[in-house]
Amino acid sequence: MRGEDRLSNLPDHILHHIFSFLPTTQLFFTTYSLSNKWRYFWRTFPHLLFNINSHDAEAFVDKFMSRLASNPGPDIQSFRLRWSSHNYKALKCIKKWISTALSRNVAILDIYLGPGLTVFTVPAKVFAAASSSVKVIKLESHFYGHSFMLPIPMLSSPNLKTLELIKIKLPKGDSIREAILGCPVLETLVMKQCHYSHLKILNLSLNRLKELEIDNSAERFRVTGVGDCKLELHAPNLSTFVYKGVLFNDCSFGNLAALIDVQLFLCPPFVEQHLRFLQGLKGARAVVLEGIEEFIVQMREQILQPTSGQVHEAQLFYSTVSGVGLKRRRVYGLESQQASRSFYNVPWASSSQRLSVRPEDIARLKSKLSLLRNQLQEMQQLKSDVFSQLNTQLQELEHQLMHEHQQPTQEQLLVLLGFCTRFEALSQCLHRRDSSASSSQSSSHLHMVLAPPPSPPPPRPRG
Amino acid sequence: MSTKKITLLSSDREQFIVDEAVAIQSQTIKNLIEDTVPDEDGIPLPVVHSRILAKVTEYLTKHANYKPHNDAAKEELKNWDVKFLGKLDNNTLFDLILAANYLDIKGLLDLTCQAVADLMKGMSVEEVRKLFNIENDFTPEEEEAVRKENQWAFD
Repeated sequence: MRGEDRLSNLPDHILHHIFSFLPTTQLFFTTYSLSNKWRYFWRTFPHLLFNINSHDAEAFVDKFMSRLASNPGPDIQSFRLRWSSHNYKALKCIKKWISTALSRNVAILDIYLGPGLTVFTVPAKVFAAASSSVKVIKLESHFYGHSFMLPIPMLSSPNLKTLELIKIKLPKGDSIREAILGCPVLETLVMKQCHYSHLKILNLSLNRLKELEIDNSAERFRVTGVGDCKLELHAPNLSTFVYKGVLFNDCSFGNLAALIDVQLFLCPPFVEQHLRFLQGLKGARAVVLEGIEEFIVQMREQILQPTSGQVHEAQLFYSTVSGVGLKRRRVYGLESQQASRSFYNVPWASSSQRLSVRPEDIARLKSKLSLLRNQLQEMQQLKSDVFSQLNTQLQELEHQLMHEHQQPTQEQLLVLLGFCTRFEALSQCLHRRDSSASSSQSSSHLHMVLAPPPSPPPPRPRG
Repeated sequence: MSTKKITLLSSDREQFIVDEAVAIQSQTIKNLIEDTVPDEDGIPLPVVHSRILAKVTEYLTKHANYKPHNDAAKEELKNWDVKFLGKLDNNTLFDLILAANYLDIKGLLDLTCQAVADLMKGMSVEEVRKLFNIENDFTPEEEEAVRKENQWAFD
């Protein structure tokens, strides 16, 4: 007896959702000849995903996209392309496919170009208001800086809300080697291992920007990536700023009034730029430094020197991980003055390995979390994205510690310690802002909450 | 922490009592709580059978306020999801998709849709037909026409 055909009976939008997880080429071949219902369904796919790893794959996609171009159809929501074929003569296909996607009002463009030396120039019309509905662009090249050429109009693209660039070389806007990124509605900008050494100035003038992540942590940045490029940031609505790795040659920050959450993962050795960078962030309400312990201690000493003056209106917090990414030997959780200063020594372990943490330490962590829980409830009226995010993280940590009768992993503990630091930074800053709203500005003296450098822990044999 | 309880009523009038935080992961339930005066017996969900609502609440309880942001927690939740899916037959899977769609639970809809996509991965036309009981309703003439109109894909 034949069962019910549940798949064919699903509403189209659910079918599209299911199919968004599958490569379009396979979908085409397995659906068009199923039954009458399916005969033309491929023409309506709103999510296109193509993996190009051979000449055949590319030839099919070319024919498929031509068919779409010649048949009117509904909008395409996303066009994703993973190109790892070596046939780079055919890169011109991509231009044609993008044109077809644009003609169907595509909203998301996501393109990865694998190893190869040919440069693909992204068509300028992708970034123009009249010809493009693209709101989200993600570009990634396998080799650092070499696969994409971006047109100058990209820098002022009027519709773009999210831009993620991985290993991309930004276009330079004019003869003085300055790139001004000024997309008027851009809200999220991620730049990982991008190439800036051809620029003198990278100017981010983004009035709507809320989230910014700059990751210069690739090893070869030490030699080439940043060059003598200077970063100028004007983002009055920026609320979250994540910065990792090598600093720009110099930084200047405009109005950062909305900045509430700064996470910095900086690399040694300490140089003058670090200090200037931190000084530039003085408008932020909370700055969390993360990094290799010895470096953070060194940086703190530099910042605390009287000659540095009033570095921060915001409070500066830090959590450190010894030898991050190289040898995770110990984790130091340094907590602020309000909480009892505690010190956890965690033996080396792989990140998922369960740790032997003493029951009393677990109990301490638990009571710490419930303390944070109370604080968080007091702050609920502040209704900020950051706090709902904190709430979520807190619940997760509680879940891990309270609902599982097992030892935490190293990674869980790292997250927990980092969380405590970040949470307290934010909560104290907001409390302080509330209570001192009427007090004079002159009270914005250097106020740092820093635990002393850790002394070697007593050995803790277990068992 | 709020521990307000919400009673959900399945299409066969079975009651499910869950924490509010669990229930409001469903945007539909959240809207119902905000916009309507609750039935004495609970919030009626007339298109979700108790057999499916039990599964939905099991999922929601696990996922309540548990949005992992580190790898270990993600891994654990993923393993739970895999086990959860492993216990479902295809019929229940489709019922869950429709329930997740109606109740507007994005995580569950993604999970179940991905599961169907995974079932189809690498399958031939015949295998897909068999798996989902899709009847080939083409006449021989239509079959020939379909073959011709898609010949371009093979040239």
